[in-house]
Amino acid sequence: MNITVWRAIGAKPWRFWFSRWPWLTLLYLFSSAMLGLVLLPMIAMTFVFIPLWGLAVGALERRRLKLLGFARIENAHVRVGADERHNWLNIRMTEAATWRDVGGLFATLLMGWLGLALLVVEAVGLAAIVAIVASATHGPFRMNISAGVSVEMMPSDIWKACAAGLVALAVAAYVNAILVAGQASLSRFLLSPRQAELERYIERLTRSRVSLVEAFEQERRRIERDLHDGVQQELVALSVRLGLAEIDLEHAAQSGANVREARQAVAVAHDHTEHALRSLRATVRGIHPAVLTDHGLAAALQELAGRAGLPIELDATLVQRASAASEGCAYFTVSEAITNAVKHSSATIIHIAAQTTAHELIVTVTDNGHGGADETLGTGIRGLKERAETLGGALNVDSPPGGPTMLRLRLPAATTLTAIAAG
Amino acid sequence: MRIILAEDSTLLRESLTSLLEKLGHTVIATATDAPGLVDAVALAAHENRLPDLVITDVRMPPNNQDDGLRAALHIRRSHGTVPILVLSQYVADAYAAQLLSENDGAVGYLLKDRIGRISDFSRALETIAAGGTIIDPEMVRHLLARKTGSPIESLTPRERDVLTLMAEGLANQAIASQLVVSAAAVAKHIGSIFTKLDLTPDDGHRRVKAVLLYLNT
Repeated sequence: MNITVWRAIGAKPWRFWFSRWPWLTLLYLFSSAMLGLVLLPMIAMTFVFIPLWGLAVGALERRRLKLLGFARIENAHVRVGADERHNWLNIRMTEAATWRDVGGLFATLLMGWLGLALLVVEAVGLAAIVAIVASATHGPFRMNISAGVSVEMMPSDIWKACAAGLVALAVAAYVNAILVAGQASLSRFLLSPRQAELERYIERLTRSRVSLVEAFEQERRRIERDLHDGVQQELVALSVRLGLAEIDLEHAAQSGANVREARQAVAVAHDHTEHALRSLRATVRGIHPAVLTDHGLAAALQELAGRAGLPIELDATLVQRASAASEGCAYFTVSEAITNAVKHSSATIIHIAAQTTAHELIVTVTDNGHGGADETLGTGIRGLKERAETLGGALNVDSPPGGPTMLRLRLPAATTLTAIAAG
Repeated sequence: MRIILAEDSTLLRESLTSLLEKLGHTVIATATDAPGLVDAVALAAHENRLPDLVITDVRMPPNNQDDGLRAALHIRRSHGTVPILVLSQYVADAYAAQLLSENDGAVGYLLKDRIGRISDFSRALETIAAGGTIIDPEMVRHLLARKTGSPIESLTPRERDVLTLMAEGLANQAIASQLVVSAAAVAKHIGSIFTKLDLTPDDGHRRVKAVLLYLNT
């Protein structure tokens, strides 16, 4: 365990005097004095940058505290991501931690100059004693300190002076240590993160994760809409034009023209167009089913059940509309569960139950397959699990060998940011 | 036929207009969004010249959701049995169920893919205008695949085939030629379907109701 400067001061005096602490505190005091000496003119010249000086000195002080045996204190500032770097100054200027750093800067300045003064007094005193002792070894010595006050020293009194010097050193060690410890405690108080700041930081992270998922959902809806409004309509129009061409060619054939090859070519083009429409529809459904936006989860699950390729019992009569992010997560989870059941579990029937309670959307998918599904294997399920957790819900997969496999998804019905903040 | 067409994609609206005109119909008005469609029909009604058929896209402005479908339902409620064909990019029970459960006949729900098969499409237009019901084959396949635990399950595969073709709006004779059986055999299958689905002759519109059973169970 780290011994801090305060514990060292509280130890027995002779242990303190002969430890490393007098030297460490002297070093600290000296560095403080130097800092004060350097910072004062610099700050005086560039006082508009005081908050920046505060940030820089704060960072330095956090490191310097380790010299005195304190554990590293956490940075109280919000971490600024690469995407927000342009906004760095703005974020820093609005943080309480920055202004505490500025307070810390003034504390460093004040304590630096106090330390400097103390060091000068100590140095002068020590030098005087050494000088007096050195001079007295050559015979009686007399020094005028000021008018009317003088010091007289006999060679026989040298031991007294030495004793006085030692006492001064011993006292100075304590004075230094106490000053340094006081400064350290003040710095720790000013520079440590507040509990509320840590909580805000976590809240910020949670919000940004939720808004990421919601943005993702929105983006999928946009892509679906773009495909629907654009290329799907164009393909339908193309198919209509090909149909018209087929009619024209049919008329031409009826009036005796040889259009066999042209009719064949158009028919093939028409088939290809229809195929493209079908594949595009399947792709769009995988991105975001329109029915989910229009009619909600129950209708979308019904549609999903109709395409499953295996009998599905769907109980979704108690489902109300939930947030788009939750509905999307539930839909794709069920879709993945059905795919897995069909592919891996040799199930013959799947039961899907979905319901909304006051605050939650709960979906269970159970199949009668042979189980043994390892959730760590399916990247699809793992991604959906993360998505559910991000939204403040949970996805559990229970699949003992021999079956049945049961998947249970719980999501908040509303994933608005306020709901997260309140929860 | 006099047709009102609503489709927000300019390209497709123009292609459809020229197709309909080629088929000998008249496009009396076009609309690019749902309110435009409602207005066009209201205007025609005001002049006492309701269209013989309304064709609308499901997804249209202003909300770009199922605005077209809602406009269709609104038109049926306010102007009686105006035949309506709804075109969709997707197979979605929710869309079709809404349309079919509120209306007995003279409605259709087709994937846009079908338009290019012009003779089939033309036949579908005639069927709807004549009061028939057309449901996209993919939709019917989809519904047959989904239903478990409903009376539909008790149908034999052959009866299912017949029901599928009924849903597409085919008459008995056409079903018979498609399945290569006699018209009498088709009538027998249909009778058996009605019995299994518990539809009595008093129900009226039994053909439509048989199809609706897929949607509502």
